[in-house]
Amino acid sequence: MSPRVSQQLSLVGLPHSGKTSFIAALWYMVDQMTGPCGLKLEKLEGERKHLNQIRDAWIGYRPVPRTSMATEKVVSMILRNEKTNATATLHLPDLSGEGFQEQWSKRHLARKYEAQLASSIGALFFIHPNLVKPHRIDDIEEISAVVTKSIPSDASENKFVAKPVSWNAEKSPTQVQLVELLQIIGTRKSFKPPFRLAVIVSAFDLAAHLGLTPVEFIERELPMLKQFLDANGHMFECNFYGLSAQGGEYHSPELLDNMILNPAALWARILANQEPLCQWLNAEMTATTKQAIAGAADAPALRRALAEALNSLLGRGDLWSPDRFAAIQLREETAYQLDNLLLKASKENTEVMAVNRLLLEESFGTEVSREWKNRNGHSDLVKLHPLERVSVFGTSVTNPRDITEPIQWLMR
Amino acid sequence: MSGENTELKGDLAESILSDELDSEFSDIYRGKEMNEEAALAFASSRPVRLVVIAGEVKGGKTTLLTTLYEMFQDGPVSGQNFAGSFTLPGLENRCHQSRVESENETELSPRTPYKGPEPTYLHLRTSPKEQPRDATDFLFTDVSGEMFEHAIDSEKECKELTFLLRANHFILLLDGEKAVRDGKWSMVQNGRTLLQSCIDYGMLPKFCAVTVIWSKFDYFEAALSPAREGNQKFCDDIEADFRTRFGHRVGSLSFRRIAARPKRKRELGFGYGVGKLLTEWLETSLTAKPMHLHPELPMGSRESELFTLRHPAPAS
Repeated sequence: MSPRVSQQLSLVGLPHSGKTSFIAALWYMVDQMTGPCGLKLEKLEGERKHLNQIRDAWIGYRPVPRTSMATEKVVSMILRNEKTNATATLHLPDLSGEGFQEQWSKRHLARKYEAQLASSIGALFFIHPNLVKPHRIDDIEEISAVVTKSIPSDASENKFVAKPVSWNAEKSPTQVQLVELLQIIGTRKSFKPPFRLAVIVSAFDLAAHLGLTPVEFIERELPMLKQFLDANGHMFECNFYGLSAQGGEYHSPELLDNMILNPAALWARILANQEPLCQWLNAEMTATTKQAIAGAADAPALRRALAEALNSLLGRGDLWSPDRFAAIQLREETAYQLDNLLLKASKENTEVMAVNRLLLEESFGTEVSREWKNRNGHSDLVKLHPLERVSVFGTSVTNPRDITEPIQWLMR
Repeated sequence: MSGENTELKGDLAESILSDELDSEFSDIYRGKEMNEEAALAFASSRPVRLVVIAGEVKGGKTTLLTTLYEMFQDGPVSGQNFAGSFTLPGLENRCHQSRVESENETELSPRTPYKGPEPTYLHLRTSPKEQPRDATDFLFTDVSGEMFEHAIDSEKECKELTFLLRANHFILLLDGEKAVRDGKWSMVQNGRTLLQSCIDYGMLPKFCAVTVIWSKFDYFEAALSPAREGNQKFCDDIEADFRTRFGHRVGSLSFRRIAARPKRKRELGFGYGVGKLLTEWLETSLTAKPMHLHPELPMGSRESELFTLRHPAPAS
């Protein structure tokens, strides 16, 4: 079978739409000799450092590092369908998504993206179920009237009147911004219809409770976008997918209020300023933070204030120092994670936070809980083989573990 | 609308509404409201229904338009799908004051500033759910009520509203809130005089469909008997008067009652009557054809005059 000319594909989506998680999982999957992928990696063009970073985070069950517009470089992944021998070049122009949002808010288009669009026959179009939806005042006025009636008249007379907020384009409804992204594609000089769109609802597990197919989800949650796609079917040929690229929700080192077990004792130890870590915390907490803690009216308020204070320092790379923890016998798990972190030249923020959380638990054994947010879900997730973490949904999907299904549809 | 090269695709939007270029970024259409020049360029390549929305200051002109747009955000309207808009940021900006995110306590529509006789336009494209390629491009004027107040008082200023000569639909809003108050006769008189002036000065083409709309109709509906019956009779009488005066002088004359955002009677539902209005626009035969941009005629100096010269009205 002779190889055909490689088809060019783009990747489109607003910030936080799941592009990076998809690429992290894809980068791992297409590089496996065995597994469910119908496409294999033929070649990568461009810098692979960032791809490796996000892949490592994905394999390590950590949130993939945030991609910033300033640091990203153009990368193209050349994929081959082993059955048909066809190849496709997937361009990854803007994983951060900021460039896509700027098309809407700043009305300009990166030339590198435009050039890729010009050669592309289609795109993966990402949508996260966490949508920005407008709320009409008239929808809530009735509710607010009821609330106002229940407030004593003297209180309502003294109510705070907020200053109206100016329109901010970036806070426009998700579906409006998505329609505009497509209109911009459709108005390029180089546009050749029909342009194929694999519309992917990412983190589809979050929307599972709705019991909807991906296209039903779009129709219900983004009706204007769905109408636009229906009305412009001659321009955009669509197929709809749901995708869970993580396999579930990761645990988080962030402290919740109820994880501060004994707030009074914890604050007393910090205030005493005797132990090295308490001295560091005392020095690093702002005066405002300390006032908020000191002014807490009751135990729940104190828990909240302390959790906020500690969370604000959780990402600090200088929380740990050998002297500060010399008197503490670290658990094996903590020591292992700390050693791993110290060996890394480039430290992800999520890794730093995780180790710092362990260090706080070691230092404040009776005051800070060892329970983590979503620990159980995370425990279930890590039992899965990486190849089992991906789920693809959609009426045309033949292998729900194959993350390349949408790409294969674009290549068909 | 159907046919080749009339979809959203094309260089048109880029060429008429572009920002300046720089090295890293390429321009895209601005997306705000279109000025006369941009509307003219837009209408040169495709049939467009021009809907002129006229009425007093705070009469609900912008609200009518933003409500129709917001209805599409919830789903198809009267069997029509939202098929696109080249003025999405302009529409979104106008919706902001009626959304919670503005932190306004009650919904507001931005007051459209008066900047002389040049209108601004907002674009909306719809297509039937069953026949997606049969799309219709609407251009709606978004002009200050003051512009029409000037036209009432002065023949010269009325004749400066040259965009009226191209209108497929002339929507005259009669403010329902005022209609249940003491100022109702003044409000009706102003509306009647505006329509009279536009007709007398030859500013409304014969093919233009005129729709008189009682806006904020929830004020009528919320009234208790016998005021309610009185309001109904008032409406009926005014409509009869309009029919007698203007029925034979315009292409068509119809009446509608809408409550775009019915505060006084919420049971009417958001956009009460707006869907039917859209249907009426779509069902009215469109005699306008793709506009001719380069007539062999001496050019005027004002852009609005150029617009008129380039788009002569068809023989009536």
